[in-house]
Amino acid sequence: MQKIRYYFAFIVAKLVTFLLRVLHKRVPYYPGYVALRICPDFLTIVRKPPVVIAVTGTNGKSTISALLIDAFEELGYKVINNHGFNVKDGITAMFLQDMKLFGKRGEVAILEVDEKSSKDIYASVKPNYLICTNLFRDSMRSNSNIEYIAQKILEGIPKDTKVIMPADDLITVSSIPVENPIYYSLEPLKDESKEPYNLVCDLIYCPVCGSELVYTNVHYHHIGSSYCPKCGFTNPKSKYIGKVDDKKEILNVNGIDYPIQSKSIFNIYNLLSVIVCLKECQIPETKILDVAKHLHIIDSRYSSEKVGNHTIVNIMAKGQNPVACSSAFQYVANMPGSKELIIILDDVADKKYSVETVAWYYDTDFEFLNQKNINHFVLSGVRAMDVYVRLLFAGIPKIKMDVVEDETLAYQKVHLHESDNIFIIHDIHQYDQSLIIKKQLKEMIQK
Amino acid sequence: MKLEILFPEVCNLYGDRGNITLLEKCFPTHDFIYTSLLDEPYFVHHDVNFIYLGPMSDSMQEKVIQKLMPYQKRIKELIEHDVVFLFTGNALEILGKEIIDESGKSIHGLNIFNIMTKKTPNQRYNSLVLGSIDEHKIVSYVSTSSTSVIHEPRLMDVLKEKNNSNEEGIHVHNFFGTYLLGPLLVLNPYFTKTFLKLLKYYEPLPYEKELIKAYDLRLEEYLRVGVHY
Repeated sequence: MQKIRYYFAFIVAKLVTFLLRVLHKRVPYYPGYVALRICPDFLTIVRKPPVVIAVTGTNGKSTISALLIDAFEELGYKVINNHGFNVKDGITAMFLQDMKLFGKRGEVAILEVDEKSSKDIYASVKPNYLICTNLFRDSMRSNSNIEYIAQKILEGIPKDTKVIMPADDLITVSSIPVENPIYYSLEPLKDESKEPYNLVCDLIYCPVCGSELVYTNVHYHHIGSSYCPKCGFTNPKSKYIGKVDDKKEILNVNGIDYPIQSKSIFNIYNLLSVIVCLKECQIPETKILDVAKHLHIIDSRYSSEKVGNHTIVNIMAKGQNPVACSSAFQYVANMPGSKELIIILDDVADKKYSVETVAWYYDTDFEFLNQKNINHFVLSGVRAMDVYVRLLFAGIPKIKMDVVEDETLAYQKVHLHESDNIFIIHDIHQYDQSLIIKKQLKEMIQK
Repeated sequence: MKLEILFPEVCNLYGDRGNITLLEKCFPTHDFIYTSLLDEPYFVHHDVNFIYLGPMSDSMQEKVIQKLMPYQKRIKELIEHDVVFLFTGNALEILGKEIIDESGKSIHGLNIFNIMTKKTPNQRYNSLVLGSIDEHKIVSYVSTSSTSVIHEPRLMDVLKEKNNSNEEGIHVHNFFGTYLLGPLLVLNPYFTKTFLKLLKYYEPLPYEKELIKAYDLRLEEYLRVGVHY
């Protein structure tokens, strides 16, 4: 009976896929939704590739997934992935799409898994490897707080899945106590702080005994090295250790050098976790080296282009996420040279139907942007006034800022003559708009 | 003036430290006392004018209750003596009778107010909230994984919220307890001006013009859109 339901669901979902294509509707998760409604066990039954790698955690899921896809494709594997549709419907749709009469079927599946959906998905899909990127406070409407999310991830992890996680993230380490995890860590970078320096730090006290932790090195927020002077709780030993050579732009992992594509700490960790995963998948070292040379951060996350005497940099700063935005701000602040910033952080869907919360602004380190060499700000989007208020609280003088709600006019307020580097810091849903602004700026510069 | 901020290193969820940021711009630095979870609260042996406690995780609630339980009488005394309190998010719950988790396990609160709380971690409730406190329209949000039954004088009349509730929060003497997030003081400058008069602050707010402009824009939106976010 179950098989009959499965095959019926398969046929109907394939028909739905065909119809969506004919109607030019981009709703990739929908066939999965249909399949699961007809056959709730569809995801359990459908064929899986020999290698399934899941990626979960607060930040970095999409970037790491994209890098893994690039890497395995470069290695010659047929790769399938769920394109960021990281709940059950999207993952089901991915496996469904792989079931075709003609053409090669997937050999590697890269699944980006929403933390809250872990139990649901891993009940049906047993990944060979699970990368837990990190755990931070995230959007308050969906992810409540870290404890809740950690519990959701832990509840779902299958016994035989090898879990890869950063030893530098003691929240992940202590909240997800699996057997025989594979740890990786990053040695201190040049000039890093010895103590937490962000507005918020989600790990102040020892998760074992409650005493105050002593930090010895901080990459960002709570990510780094610390120990409890009372019970000795500290970072576990790592199988893989990364060392950054800033001048040579190299990430050395256990004695082997890999080129760095982006120097932001987020992306260094993303690259490190990808290299670790490839090593654990027994990919030969020479091949990992070849692949690493061609890996690049997807353009929607980061792109840089020289236009005349200016450099225009588009940086995605995930909205509703104080840690991701703080990291983006810190990266911009640390870049040399004179800077102009265009900031559009609001969620396009919220603009249409609701009023998004700006509470997260006050967990975000806008203070990083209070710098002499950031000459001017253009704040745009429906929440521009709220960003303006937040930047005033961060100590940015009014004279340095212009507020333009209409994003299509933001470029007009840019002070080209003041800065060589123009940064467009945008929410994930404002990627298309950021490209329009970039195009407008290019035309302005070239005139 | 003494303003005590309780456990800011851990009771700081959902951006509510923005309330503290605004207060820091209004009062001199030396007026503030930041009490960590490991310290004895300043209010235990000293007079204070204001006490703030922000939202925290569920496990932190238990620790904060344990921490403050020995001072339950003192807290009650301070409330009755009209010390100004602002407890936001789920901070309010610790002063209630009981918090029951989803397994049925009960944690006794400080029993200062008649509040019974039930945790609902798998049913997160999010809503825009439009309300009024006296003559002031309030624009805010709630984001909770618990429900509380409150039998105390209420803080705010709710005009628009997802669950169609009529009232929100607690206002007893100068104790203000509310689930409202925002941060409340940043998003509602008119209310904040009235609130700060309790602390003898009569000056304009920092960046008052801009706060009001942001508020006006938001209020117009709240009147126009639905309550989901």
